[in-house]
Amino acid sequence: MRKVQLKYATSATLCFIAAAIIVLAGIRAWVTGEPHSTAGADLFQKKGCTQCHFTDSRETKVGPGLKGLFNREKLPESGRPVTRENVRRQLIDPYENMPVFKDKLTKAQQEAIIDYLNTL
Amino acid sequence: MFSPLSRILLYPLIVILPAVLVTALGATTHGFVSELGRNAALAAVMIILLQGLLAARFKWISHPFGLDILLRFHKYMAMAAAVLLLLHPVLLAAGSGSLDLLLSLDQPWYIWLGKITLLLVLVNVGVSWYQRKLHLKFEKWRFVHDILGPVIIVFAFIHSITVGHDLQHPFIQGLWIVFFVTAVLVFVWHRVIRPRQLQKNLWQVIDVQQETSDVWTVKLKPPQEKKVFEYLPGQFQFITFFRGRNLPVEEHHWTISSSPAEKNFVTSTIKALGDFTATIKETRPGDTAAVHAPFGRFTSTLHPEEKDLVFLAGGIGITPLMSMLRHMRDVQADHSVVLLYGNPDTDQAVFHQEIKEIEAGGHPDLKVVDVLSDPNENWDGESGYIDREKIIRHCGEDLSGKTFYVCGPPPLIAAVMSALDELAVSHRQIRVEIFSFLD
Ligand code: HEC
Repeated sequence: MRKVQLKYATSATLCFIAAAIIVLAGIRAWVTGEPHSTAGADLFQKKGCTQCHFTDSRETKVGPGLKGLFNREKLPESGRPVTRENVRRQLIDPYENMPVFKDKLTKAQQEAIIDYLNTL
Repeated sequence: MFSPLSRILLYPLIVILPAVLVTALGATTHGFVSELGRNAALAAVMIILLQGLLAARFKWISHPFGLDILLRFHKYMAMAAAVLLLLHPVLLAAGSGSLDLLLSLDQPWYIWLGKITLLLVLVNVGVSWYQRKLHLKFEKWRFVHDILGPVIIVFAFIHSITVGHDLQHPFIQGLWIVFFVTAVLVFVWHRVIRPRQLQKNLWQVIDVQQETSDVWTVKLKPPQEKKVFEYLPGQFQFITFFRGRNLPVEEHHWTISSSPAEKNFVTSTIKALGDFTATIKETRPGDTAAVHAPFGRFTSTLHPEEKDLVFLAGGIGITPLMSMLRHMRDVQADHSVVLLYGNPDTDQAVFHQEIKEIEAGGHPDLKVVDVLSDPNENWDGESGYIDREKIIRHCGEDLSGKTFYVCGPPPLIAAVMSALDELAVSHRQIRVEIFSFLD
């Protein structure tokens, strides 16, 4: 009967989708991501971001704590969407009281820092 | 192109495609729980964007499975999408270690848009799933569905494209836009363009015949001396009647009751069951109708090797079986058919006379057993309902090698299915027509 076949087909489809999104989330969490973030972490330290930002909490030091930045719905101060573009903008043309890093960071260094923020 | 099996496989692959691409190309990574929350939404939105394709009556998609089955799949997948979308904010909140996303009112507009979309999805799934329990009329439900569907698609798209930094890779973003535009076009085609095209080629009502106290047969002639489309006995058609006289203009689907051997007209035999069908008797010759057909796979002609058939029908459920019987008569088929036909009494048995004539004609080799639940005193045939004993009595103890076609109101289907189950008839031997798309 076709209704029985439909139940099998639907269950199989759902199991497949569920398995796929779990495996893919696992791949993203554990396999990709980690390697290229050390450069960013070093820069974050060297360029002095740590003077004003915590990376392990959301508490304010001078500027807002950046833990889980990319997991938020919006940037803490400006309220803009959390996109790479908007974080880049903060470095080049800060929202309010943060120093400008436009000439202190190359494009590649900006990307490395953003990659790092992404892992917090 | 693409066998039915690969078409089934295509579906889940498309659904997970964005999640695969984000994994392969996207730069962002968070904890496992957050990533799962993201994937849940990516898959759910893909399911939603594909919903239209499942329901839009494209023959390439519906043909291998039958439109009725596909619409049921559409319904199940809607439920799956709703569950995934519910998990989405919960997992994201859990992953970020803060309940702000769920509880805080201080959210940017695109987060609120996401929440509204989720709500609309839940409403849409709820009214479709519980349409009967809510006593929502089919037309009203369909109106709501036709509005919520596209609104959900647009809102989900705007939310995902503004929030999702994982969608910012140009290739993924491009694909996302392509899927979105396709979904919108499918909707516009299905609900605006095609109905207009059908209206340009109107059929004509040439006869309306009363069959019983509340059943009428409407006979339709194709436009401009054309022949009737090719169809299989047992398939159904969508008809929109244009009758004027303040009668409602709504699209409904009915089984074709005529034989495909007849090339000059089609008939649908319609029982006054609801608000719309109550007006069917008002239909007059000369009225016009838009016809979209044929659909469905409830037909013995797709299984020519099966010659030993049992038809179990209740009331107006006879219509697809009648089309098959008429067709077998017209082509002088050598099938053997036992028809158990449940009705309150013979007066209410639609096509009673013609079925007797087919039985007398010898093609197919037909045995008709009327099962009457409310017979008059002189009735010496079967009374009560179609059940296990009556099936054995008229079809024999050995049911292997027989194929059962079941069509009738839901209680009859339920009773017959459990009887066949007790008789250890394999589901492969049973074909059931499910009248309503929403059940
Ligand atoms: C002198 C202190 C100071 C330093 C150094 C500093 N920031 Fe900031 N940062 C702030 C302040 C203050 C804010 C609040 C927003 C503003 O005033 O622009 C902020 C905000 C931010 C934001 C959030 C922007 C928003 O839209 O809410 C990010 C992201 C950020 N900083 C990243 C960095 C990075 C990366 C570095 C190192 C390259 C850095 N900051 C160095 C003070 C600092």
